[in-house]
Amino acid sequence: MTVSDPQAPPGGAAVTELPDSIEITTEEGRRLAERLADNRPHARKLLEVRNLSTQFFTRDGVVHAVDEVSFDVDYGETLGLVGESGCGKSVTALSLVRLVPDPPGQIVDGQIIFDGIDILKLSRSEMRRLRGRKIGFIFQDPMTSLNPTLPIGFQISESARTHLGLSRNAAADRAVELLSKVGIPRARDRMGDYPHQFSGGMRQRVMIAIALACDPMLLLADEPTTALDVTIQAQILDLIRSLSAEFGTAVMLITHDLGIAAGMCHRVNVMYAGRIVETGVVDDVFEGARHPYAWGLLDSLPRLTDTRAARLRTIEGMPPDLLNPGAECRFAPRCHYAQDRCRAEEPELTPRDGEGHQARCFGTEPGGWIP
Amino acid sequence: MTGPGAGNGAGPLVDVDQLKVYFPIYAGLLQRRSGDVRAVDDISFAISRGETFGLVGESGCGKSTTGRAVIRLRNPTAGTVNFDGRDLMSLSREELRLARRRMQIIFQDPYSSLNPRMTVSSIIGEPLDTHNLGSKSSRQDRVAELLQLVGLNPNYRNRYPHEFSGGQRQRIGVARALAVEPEFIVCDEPISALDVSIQAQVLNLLVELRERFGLTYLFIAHDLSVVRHISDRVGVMYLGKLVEVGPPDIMYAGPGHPYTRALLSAVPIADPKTERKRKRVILTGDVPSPVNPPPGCRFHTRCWLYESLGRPEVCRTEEPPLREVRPQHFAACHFAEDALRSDIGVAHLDETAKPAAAGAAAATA
Repeated sequence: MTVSDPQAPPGGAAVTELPDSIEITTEEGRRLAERLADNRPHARKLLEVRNLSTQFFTRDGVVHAVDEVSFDVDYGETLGLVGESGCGKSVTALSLVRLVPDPPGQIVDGQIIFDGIDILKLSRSEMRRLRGRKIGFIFQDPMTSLNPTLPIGFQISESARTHLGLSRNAAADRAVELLSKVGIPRARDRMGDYPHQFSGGMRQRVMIAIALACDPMLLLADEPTTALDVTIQAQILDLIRSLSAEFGTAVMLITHDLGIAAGMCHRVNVMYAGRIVETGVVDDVFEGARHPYAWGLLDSLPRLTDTRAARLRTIEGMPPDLLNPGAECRFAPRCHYAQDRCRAEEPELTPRDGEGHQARCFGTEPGGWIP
Repeated sequence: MTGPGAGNGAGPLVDVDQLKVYFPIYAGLLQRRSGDVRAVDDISFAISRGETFGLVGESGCGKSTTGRAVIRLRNPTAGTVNFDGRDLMSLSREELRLARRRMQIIFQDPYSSLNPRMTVSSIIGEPLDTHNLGSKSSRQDRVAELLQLVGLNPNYRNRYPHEFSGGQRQRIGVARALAVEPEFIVCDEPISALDVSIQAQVLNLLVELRERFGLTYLFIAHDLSVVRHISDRVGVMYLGKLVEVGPPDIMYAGPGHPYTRALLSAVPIADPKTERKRKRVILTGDVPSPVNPPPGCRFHTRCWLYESLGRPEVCRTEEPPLREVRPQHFAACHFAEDALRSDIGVAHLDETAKPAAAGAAAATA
């Protein structure tokens, strides 16, 4: 396959025909089938998410994990989704590919338009065609996302065979090509090796090779380097950066590390308690944060330039329980600036200085009380 | 021989000399000893009273093993650890038990380091029992006092660990360590398992307690900014060796070891402009196995300086000693002077010295 040319049909000459296991039962599925052959853009945005709400129905009640989240991803851009554990960033990613464990989870509301296709209307088998082919994934822990009982060569070529209809040999060649692309030395010799024979960083490279096997338009990277050491993390981030530039793949990078978001992303969404609280171009958000949670997070980071024992600014308290979020601003209980209005109603995302810069805070709206 | 730079003149509280910790590997049908994992391989350092010594490095570099050997939770293969002038290795069981009252440890994972079947009060009270401190009746007051000290509500004393969040559990771990009024605490990655905003809370607590009780810390972490924040001196470990030691403001501004420079350049910085401008070195490959460490300088297989100097032979044949390259600043590199002159890994520092976010500036205005 001509990996370097996203316009060419995947699989190049080797592709015989699309696998026939796809059963088309919906209108959206028909449109998807027409678009599987190449990566030409068909819509204004690669991904449009509108009012996405995902809830978990547990014995204790309904957990509002993702609550009316809306955002776009442009073709080829890198978008960051940052926040602390439990803020809903991973559930957002899982929702995009309809992999939320059901039960107890369910997408209860909203629209997800991927390259003009409303994916919530796809049947399950159609959805399987989209996943892997158009959307690749990298998860945090490469040990649990690779199958320990299969050689990695098989695991990489599997997706090329399924989605691109490549023959066994063509798929193996493609796997070797991908493995060398992600920087695994002596790629052909290592095709028969099992995941445990690779180090953590190498396993993550294998995951990236699998994710890119079908030349996807979107790469979902959920904490791709959290389990890795800092020098290996730098290698993997560098790899994602260069591959995304080379193939024109859009990346949605989910991370708790603000430094990674600053270095990798064009735009960033800050999530808190199931909501996006601030969104904008990285420079606007990092230098002119307009939500107290966003700048609180930035301030609480120890810096390489800190002097010893200067007190770190902290965000006191803990994130709220998402069982009953209530009608107030979700950050109000931890916010120094909160006033009565914040405890009575929840603010909307409203524009701030900078293109596309929005924040969900009454206090920093024009005429607000936070300077 | 003592470790480099004991600091303020007084005898060091902890003095580690040529410490080695090897883990034997047994292989084959007869389970013969076929080799060793050289987790810690001949390191020396000293920590003065009231000082915080930070130990950084990547996983498997031996920093946690060092921390454990220093309080003799793990017996060293060779070398000595002197605590307040006494060799811990020579102590009898009973003497060691008494000495342990003066040294405690806080573990990384607040989920696995607290017994889920014990209440908070018995977790924190257990060291008091072990060391026969105070009466049964005063125990409850002491537990309440400790909980208050670490910022937890004393009424929580009859709850179980699962009822607490990660940050709160780590506070319980801190209270347990403080119960016997130790002088020295090994903090083994105490905040790495916590969320960003909670990390800052626990870090502030550790600083407050240090000031209040004059504690001495050995602070082990993989995060260079965290270590810098809390430490008076920092040691960088690579593959069982201490490769650089110095006060963080000097060392971070101009590291004398190429590995430290690579580490610093790999740390993501929460500032998009700096991130775009930074000069990075991306180390190739993985850390070699500590079973068969490379000959000569252990870092030479991944070293950018070695490459840029045209692969000098001395790096492959001779192990560089830790030597003083500037006052108080030690590095184990044959070409430390060249490393010092480089601008890799530090070019960003003047940028980030500015106040963080404009939002913060606005907030304080």
